[in-house]
Amino acid sequence: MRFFKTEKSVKSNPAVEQKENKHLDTNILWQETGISDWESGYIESLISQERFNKEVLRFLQDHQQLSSKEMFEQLPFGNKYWEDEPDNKTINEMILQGCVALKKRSSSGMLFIHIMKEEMARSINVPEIEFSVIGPKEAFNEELETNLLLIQKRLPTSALQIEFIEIGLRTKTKVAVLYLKDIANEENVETLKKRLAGIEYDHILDSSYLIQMIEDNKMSIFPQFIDTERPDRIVASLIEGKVAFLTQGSPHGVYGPVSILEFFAAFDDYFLSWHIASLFRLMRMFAVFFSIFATPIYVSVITFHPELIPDDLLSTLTTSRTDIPFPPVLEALFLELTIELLREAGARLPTKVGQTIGIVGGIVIGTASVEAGLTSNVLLIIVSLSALASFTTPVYRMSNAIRLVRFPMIILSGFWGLLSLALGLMMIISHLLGLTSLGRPYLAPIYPPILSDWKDSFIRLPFYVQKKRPKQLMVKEKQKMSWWKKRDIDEFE
Amino acid sequence: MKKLLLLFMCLLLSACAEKEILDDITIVRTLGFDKASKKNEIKGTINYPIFINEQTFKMKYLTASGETSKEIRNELNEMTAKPIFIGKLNTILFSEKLAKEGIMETLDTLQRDPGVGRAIYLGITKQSAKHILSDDYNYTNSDGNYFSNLIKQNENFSNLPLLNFHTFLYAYFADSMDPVLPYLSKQKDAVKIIGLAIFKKDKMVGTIDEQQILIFKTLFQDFKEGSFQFSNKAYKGNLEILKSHLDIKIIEKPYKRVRITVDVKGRLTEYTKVNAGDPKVVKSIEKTIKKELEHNAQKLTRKFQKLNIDPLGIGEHVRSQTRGFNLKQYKDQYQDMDIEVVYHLKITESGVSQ
Repeated sequence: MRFFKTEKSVKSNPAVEQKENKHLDTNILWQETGISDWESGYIESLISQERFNKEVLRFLQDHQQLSSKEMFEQLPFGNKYWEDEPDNKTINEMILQGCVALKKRSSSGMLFIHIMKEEMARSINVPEIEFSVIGPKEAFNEELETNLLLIQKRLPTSALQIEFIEIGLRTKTKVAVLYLKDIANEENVETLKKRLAGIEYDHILDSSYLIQMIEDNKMSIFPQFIDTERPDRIVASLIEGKVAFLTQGSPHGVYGPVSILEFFAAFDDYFLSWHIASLFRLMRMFAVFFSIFATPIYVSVITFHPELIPDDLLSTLTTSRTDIPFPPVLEALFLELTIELLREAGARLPTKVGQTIGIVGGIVIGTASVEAGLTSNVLLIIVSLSALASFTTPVYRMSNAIRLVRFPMIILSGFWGLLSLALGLMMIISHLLGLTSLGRPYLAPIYPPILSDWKDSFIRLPFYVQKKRPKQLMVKEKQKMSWWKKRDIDEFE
Repeated sequence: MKKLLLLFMCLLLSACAEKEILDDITIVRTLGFDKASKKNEIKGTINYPIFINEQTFKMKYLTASGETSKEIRNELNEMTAKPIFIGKLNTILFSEKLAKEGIMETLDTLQRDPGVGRAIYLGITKQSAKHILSDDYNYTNSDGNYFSNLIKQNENFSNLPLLNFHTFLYAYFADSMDPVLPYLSKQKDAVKIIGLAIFKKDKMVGTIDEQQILIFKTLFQDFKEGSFQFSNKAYKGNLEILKSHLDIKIIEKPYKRVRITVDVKGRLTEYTKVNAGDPKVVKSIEKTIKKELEHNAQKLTRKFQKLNIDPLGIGEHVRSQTRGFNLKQYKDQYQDMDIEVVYHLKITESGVSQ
């Protein structure tokens, strides 16, 4: 574990501070080393005993004659610190971060050596949420250092800035803010850093805590940051000029500012040919609209506007509904709820059991409820299709939001039909128009309309067309490439 | 908080929305109007499907009479288990007897109802409308779409000109135009379009017979599908029309001479006796057909002038081409106006030969 000298961003909680100031931590093991009058202090579970014995103690033994200041200067360790007049607070802090404190009883001053135990971190796994068929298959794990390594490996440039902030009054979680100095808009960087630094909360256990705390509109159900487990996606966003942050203990990196269309772009899209990627993206957009509006439209047409039903469907729809005792709204809500229950049950259960629940539940409950005359089979098809469609959204946070938005729409359409559905749509759109991500418009390439950014929005055009970074990010360096001339592919200069 | 309260109060308004849940309404597909035996009363017939299960459903009809169509609707509502819903209406039929006395009085409420579409079809029946609606023509009309599909397919793929509620209202409300509607008659197992009913405003004044429907269509609109049966002493045959273009021009102002030019492109699909592959023969056939077309068209226009009606909308064309159009003067002169009809016929194909 690397030792980070962090920026002190935390406005400390006075109560906590006082307590920490008065006493030394009781977990700290203070003992004589047996070498001249050196004594050491550390927490056993934090430091590497082996390194302490083999390296630190041996060096002390070999250089017994040195004073403590001289010892500090000569110690062959990278992470060593010197305090002239250490107070209890500093000592606590240093030791809790994995340092060994060394003090010569006869002289003042204290030296700290960081020899934290190599943690048993999870190995680098295959991404599970954002799996891609083609492309790299590395995902972040819980270790901030590993995650940074995964990014730095892909971005060997000095422009990459990594700034550390410590957040969480008690957990003192380390957060690394990343951006490319020569590309990223400084305003974006400053906004993110300021927001992160402003957090006063007891515990930060995952980056999703932070996302929820720094979102522009915390009342909105639409996510305003993208969290990803793919290091390549973070790197791509950095190069585009976005700002990212990684959190100690979280296998998800977060980046922003984002626009709503990015939530429907799987990172897979960049690995496939642009025709196919564009088709997939359009399909996903269609799926979103279908998922939100299919059931409400069914409800409102059946309840208020039967004249809209095509002649050929009239008999099918009517007969499918004849035995059903509920009004269409309740019927639809009942089915939607069933599907949500299935999803939730599947998500809570262990993987293998979960799969069975999904299949068995879907088929058995669906068929049975149609046969029992509780729901119409047409609605069953619509509801299950729209549930399926909602799962196509690549970002988990967004797909949840879409599934949630559907419910008020269904209820609204049960009130006034298409009229209230239009009203609901208006409310969603006006909400989205007002939404920002890190202060940048959320609906960006659509509104405000930035036509040049459409090359990588609803569709993904080939790489050679995308010569510039998205305008909406206001980046410093606009050009993505300057070398692409119109020439034959095999022609060399 | 205020906003939320306002929203909540809006939700209370939902009781004001009229619910018409699909399976709780009587979906009227066809309406028929007849003269009732009592004076001043009309008889209305509705035709609606009843669904038995997913595979089987059948049409049921109900009749009631009253002085207005609203009254009929109320009467019928008192007989049905579910409220009458008129939004899926596709055809309105009038019996010839009623049509001769005028149909606008009946149509007016339907015309004002926003739930009734303008793309639905109207028809005049030779027999009573009830008689026509009471049969399901060996399951042909089991879904209630028979009449509308009958008219629609004939308009799209055959000789019937494009006529629906909209064109009727357009012609009715235009200053110098009169409506035309399909004229239907019940045969043994089917309903047949036996011609066109021509109107003077909303009163039926006569018919155009089956053979002349196509001629009327060429004079009435541009179209791309139709067929013309021609015959003389030596031969008979059939011309399939591929394209027909209509042009109405004033030749002598004011309102003295009008020329209707029709460009017809066609294909000879049936021909007896002579070898139709020979270009010379084709030329001569072209001449014969052209003559026949022109002769028939003249007959039609003369008939219209005699009745003092204008189903072709010539008046509308004249108005659009005349600055300072004087409606009264035009109407006075209409019957004496010289309406010339010229056909340009081109036979492009005569099928595979030799």
